[in-house]
Amino acid sequence: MKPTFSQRLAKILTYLILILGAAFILLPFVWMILTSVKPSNEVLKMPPKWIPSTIQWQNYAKAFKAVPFFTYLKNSILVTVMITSCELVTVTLAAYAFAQLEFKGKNLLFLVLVATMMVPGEILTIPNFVTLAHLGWINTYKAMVAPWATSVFSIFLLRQQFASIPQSYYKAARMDGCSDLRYLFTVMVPMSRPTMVSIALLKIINSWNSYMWPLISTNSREMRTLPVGLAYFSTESGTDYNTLMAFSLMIIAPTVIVYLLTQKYIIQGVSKTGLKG
Amino acid sequence: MKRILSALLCMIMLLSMAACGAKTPAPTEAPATEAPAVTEAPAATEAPAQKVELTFWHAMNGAAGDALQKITDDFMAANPNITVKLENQGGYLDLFDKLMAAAKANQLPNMAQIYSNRLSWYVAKDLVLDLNTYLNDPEVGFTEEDKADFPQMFMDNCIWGDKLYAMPFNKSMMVLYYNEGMLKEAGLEVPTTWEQWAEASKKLTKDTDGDGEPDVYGTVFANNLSTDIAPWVKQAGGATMDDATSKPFFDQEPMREAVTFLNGMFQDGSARFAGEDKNANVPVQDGRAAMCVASTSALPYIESGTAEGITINCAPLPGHKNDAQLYYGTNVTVYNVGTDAEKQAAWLYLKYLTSTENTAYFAAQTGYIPVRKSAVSTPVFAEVLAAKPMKQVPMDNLDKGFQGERCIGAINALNALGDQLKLVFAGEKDLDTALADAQANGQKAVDEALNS
Repeated sequence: MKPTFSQRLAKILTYLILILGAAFILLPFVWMILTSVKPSNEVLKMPPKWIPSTIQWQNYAKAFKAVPFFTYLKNSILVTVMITSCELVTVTLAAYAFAQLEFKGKNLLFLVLVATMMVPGEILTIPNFVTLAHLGWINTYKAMVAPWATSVFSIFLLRQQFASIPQSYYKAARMDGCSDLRYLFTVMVPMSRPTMVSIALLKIINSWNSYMWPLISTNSREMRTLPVGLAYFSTESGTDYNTLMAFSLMIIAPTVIVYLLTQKYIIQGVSKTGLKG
Repeated sequence: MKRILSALLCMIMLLSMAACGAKTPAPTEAPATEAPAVTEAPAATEAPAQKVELTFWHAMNGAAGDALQKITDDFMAANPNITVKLENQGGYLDLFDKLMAAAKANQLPNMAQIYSNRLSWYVAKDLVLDLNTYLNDPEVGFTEEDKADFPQMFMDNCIWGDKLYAMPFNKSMMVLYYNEGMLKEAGLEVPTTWEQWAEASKKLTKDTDGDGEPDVYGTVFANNLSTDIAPWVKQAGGATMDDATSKPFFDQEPMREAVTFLNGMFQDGSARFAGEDKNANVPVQDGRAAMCVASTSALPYIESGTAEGITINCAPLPGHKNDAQLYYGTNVTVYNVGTDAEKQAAWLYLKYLTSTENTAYFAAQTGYIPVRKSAVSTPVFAEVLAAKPMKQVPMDNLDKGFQGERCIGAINALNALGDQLKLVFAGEKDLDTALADAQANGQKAVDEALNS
């Protein structure tokens, strides 16, 4: 059946809004890419000079040489993988306990955990630093990983997902002699794959982009991560925006690739749980 | 397959907690730096017999960080028993936050770069080493000639009572940058008084497209004007605070006179804050402002970021009842931690860092000025002065210079003043009420800081 005029108009309007929305969201990235190859005297021109008069690829070389790039990259990868894997394990077990098991004080404990989400992260920075300093963990991977090895928000998210799986599955599995752990890893985790991928991806992005905590918990260049290298391009008197943008693009490229490969799961996770995270 | 994946995940988690204890000993990749010509480094002084390792927390990024690394490498080459680990802590605020956390955890480094208004807290808690012992030591100290070579203003900024708690490091001056072409075109001389400045600012403000909003402002100020309002208050014959007692003077006549003058430029539309330009020099660089008030440390950014066809120069701030000029910048302090050998090594490093040749080199590579008067005659800095005459301005005004307040609570009190001044400059509050509120809030902030 041929679409009516109003259906065609609705489609055109929909695409127009989507294109405008996409352009609005992509604009900062476009500016970032163009600025990364601009000469310094064109970066902050008003009105903005979008297309540079000359393409300065040497900004990337300068950004690359400014900090020990491969050391920072190695640390970023290590810390991100460790934090994400730790969180997946702790969050899965905790969410299962809260969703499936019955034990004394379960509801109270869950409330207390959710209440901790109200505490701003900045307030915990100095107490966490003091604790880790007393443990002798400052300037180690433990300091960068331990405070982020779990996430109450992710526990909450996954608990909701686990709670949506019918109890009849659990009863049937238990009747067949299935243990709790086996049920968790053979039934619940596979059925919750989109949510778990969402949790993992959010953690990967947050860990990869984290600046403040790696800066505070480390002292030496051998331990620093890529975002900490961003500080090199800023001083109290000014910022080298072109090399900063070049360096920033080198940092975010991996997360963009990971997102493009896993976006299907994120969308599924968002639509299933109703939470964006 | 799933079981293997789950097991792998668990293994990674366990390994990550168990195996990540040791610091990685892998060598760093040294960032490639240009190695400009350096004058001969001073001879090695009395180094400790045993090997000593020092940590120095700083916030020097970019060219300043590279220059500091070069000086430190030269020091370690001349003193093989001393290792100085430079540990960059991001920006100034990151550095100060981390120092505070480290103090609470008893994990202060040997040395740190720090403003005096931050150092005062550590002085009050007796966490800082008195350097007089080393300064006056016949073997490792400074001669009388050396001591006189430091501008007194910089040394006073490091002295509390009769104790020396730091040495000056990276200093700069607040100046008036101006577009030479715009002033010449308008037939104006560089202003030297408040009245000339206000008049020039108004004349240079242009609304070229007739929309009621200036396209070229006469003067641009930094967003944190209140924190650096001291020069205008001093030029009006007063002070922002009593450094000895931390008492604010926000509602007194000199403050009123200073704010009235500055507010006049905001209200007549010839001045604005940097706003989203972030730094006041940015609009001057691309012709959207004729003048701005900024630090001489912005010079490297001005040199690289100025649009073609624009020539920028600088002058001391126009005066009023006097010509007081504000200098700012950090010092390097030695904390009361570590062994005696480490403390002596820290002093030797400080002495090396502030030597004539090295302070000249540091100033030549950055927008900062040397902390020794004799540095201007070194070949490396003389070459810079010949190529960049603007760098002569802070050297010529040292005798009129002063550094800002450093009493405990000064930062919070000035922030309270800033909250009120924002309303005054926006035309949302009358001056007398704002200054009265600033005085009350500032005093409250000081009282809280003194009790913390």
